[in-house]
Amino acid sequence: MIWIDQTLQEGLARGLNRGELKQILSILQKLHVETSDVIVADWEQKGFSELTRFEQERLRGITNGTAEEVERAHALGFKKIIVSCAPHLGQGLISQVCAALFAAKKMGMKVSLCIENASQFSLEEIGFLWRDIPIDGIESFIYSDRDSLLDPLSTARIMAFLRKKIPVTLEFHGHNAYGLASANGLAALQTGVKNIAVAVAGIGLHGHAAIEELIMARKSLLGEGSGVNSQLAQLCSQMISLIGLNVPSSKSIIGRDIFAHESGIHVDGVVKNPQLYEAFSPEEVGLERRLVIGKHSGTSSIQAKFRQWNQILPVADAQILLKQVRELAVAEKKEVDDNALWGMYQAMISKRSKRFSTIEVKHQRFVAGV
Amino acid sequence: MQEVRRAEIVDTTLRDGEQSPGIVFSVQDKVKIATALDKAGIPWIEAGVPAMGGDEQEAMKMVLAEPLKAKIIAWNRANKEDILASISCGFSYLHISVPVSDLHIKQKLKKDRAWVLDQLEKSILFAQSFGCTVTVGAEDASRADREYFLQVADVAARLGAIHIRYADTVGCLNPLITHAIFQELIPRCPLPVEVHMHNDFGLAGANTIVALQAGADLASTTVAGIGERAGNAALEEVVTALQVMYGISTPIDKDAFLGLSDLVMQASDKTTFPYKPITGSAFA
Repeated sequence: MIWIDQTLQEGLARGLNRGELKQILSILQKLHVETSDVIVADWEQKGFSELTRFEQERLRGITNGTAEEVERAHALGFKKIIVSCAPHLGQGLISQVCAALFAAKKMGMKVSLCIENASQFSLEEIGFLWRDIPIDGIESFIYSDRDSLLDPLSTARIMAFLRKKIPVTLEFHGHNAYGLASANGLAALQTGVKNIAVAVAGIGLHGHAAIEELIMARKSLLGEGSGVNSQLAQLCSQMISLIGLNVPSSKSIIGRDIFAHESGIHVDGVVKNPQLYEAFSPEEVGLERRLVIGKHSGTSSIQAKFRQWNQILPVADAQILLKQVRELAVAEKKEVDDNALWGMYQAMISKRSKRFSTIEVKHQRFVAGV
Repeated sequence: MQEVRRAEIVDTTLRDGEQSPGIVFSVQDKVKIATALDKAGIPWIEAGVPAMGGDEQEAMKMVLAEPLKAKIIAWNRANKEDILASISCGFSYLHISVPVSDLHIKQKLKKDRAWVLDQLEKSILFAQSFGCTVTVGAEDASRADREYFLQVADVAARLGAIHIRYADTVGCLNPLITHAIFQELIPRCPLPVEVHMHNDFGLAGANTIVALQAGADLASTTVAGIGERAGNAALEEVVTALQVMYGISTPIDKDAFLGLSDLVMQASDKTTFPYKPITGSAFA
């Protein structure tokens, strides 16, 4: 099982320096991702010098399918390259692409062939394209869905067919124009494809399958691979912030708020058994469960919150607080934080004790006959 | 060749979407969003939970007072109090939800399957006694015994409910399995099925479209996919993907997506991730 990273390329495109790119590569290593694809022309354009040994082991250079660019990749020190092309329907691989494949082979590089617009072709046409390949020893065939034409059902059907027909490693490279990249990546995985293109939070040109979603789906939904890094959320967030972005708070698997429960029904359920409303536990990905008090809270949520503070709150008190909580949440259009809730509680208690003390004073006066 | 057909959207931005932690829509937000959804051609709008009382009921009355073409639905648990709260706001379409997995029935309600069926029957009849039309929700259906889901659907159909919601409450379905489940389920289900998927593994949109491809008739969505935990299936992604993948059409105006997304993001005090499909700036 090999995840083919596309995060690094997006970092390169967004102007990260070489040190920052190295940090991304190091974080990817912790996720057991060993290969990152980068566009050779972008690498060259940034004026980066020859690849270090660390980079050589991890980077695979994407070339535009010309012998010239293959040579430039070689000069920069790339050991692994992709010859990428988008053939026209009805035509085979053009001679330029064949020349690029020959050049790469001659220079001893590990070569993958990528058909960028593969999903535009029928299975028969893909078979013809494969027969056009003029050399032996290609490492892998990359089937790319550049135009996001596939749904998971077609992905599964196509990958199952190609796995039988194509005698080299099959890779699936999906895109995300309609939000289906992760689902398509998962379907490819389910049909036995071992190499899947992924990026943290699904970023990249036209989007990709999200690595964190596939890592967890593989473990929880397919029951394969237990090696999920328990810092998954933190590691992904680090990469996203290196790129200059924030992970959306509700991003599946890694968002800060995905284990924040607010609605009365959900909190009541999660307190009884987290599995009622959680597909996996926060510890698996390095997040925390949080009880949020807000507009959708119920009395039992407020009682549960006070139990977390080792305080038993009678239901009548919870009802009083709930009314105030909803008013505040609606007025401020956000959740009620712990301090504000505790403040409401203190105010309620002190108001009550004042009332008691007034009653007491009156009582004493009466007894004293004043 | 796929037969050309239509799917109906049941938008729940105002109910499940707002239940996302920290999101609070004001009364004005709710009216604005409902109006925009209606204008975009959404036929069903799940507007909220009247049982919450207070401001929520005010918002519900305001939404119902608008001259909208869409049918406006209130979300209810299967009990009299919830239903009365909805009736008093003036709803005529009620969604009544019951849990159907043994996990939920036993651990959350501490009841059994027979109790749930009985409660559902009483609730449907009660709602209908006020002249309301009922849709039924099967919570945690993806982890439930399929035969029991069908039993719930049978009770709902016999009493005159108009469709049943199949909820993947914790988002644990994957598209290939979803497709297989719905291929088997749809021919046996006496009511049109609405699919309600969650996004815990990033699969809500994909699970929604493959279920529709296999014969489900309606889909729950929220604008920008907002909702509890990792959210729901995103309206804009589902509608576009249905069209592109299967040629299944919806009468929804695709040009409205960006405006809807801006409206909901603003009311939620959130920003759109640049790499979000359809509405993200990096995709423009």
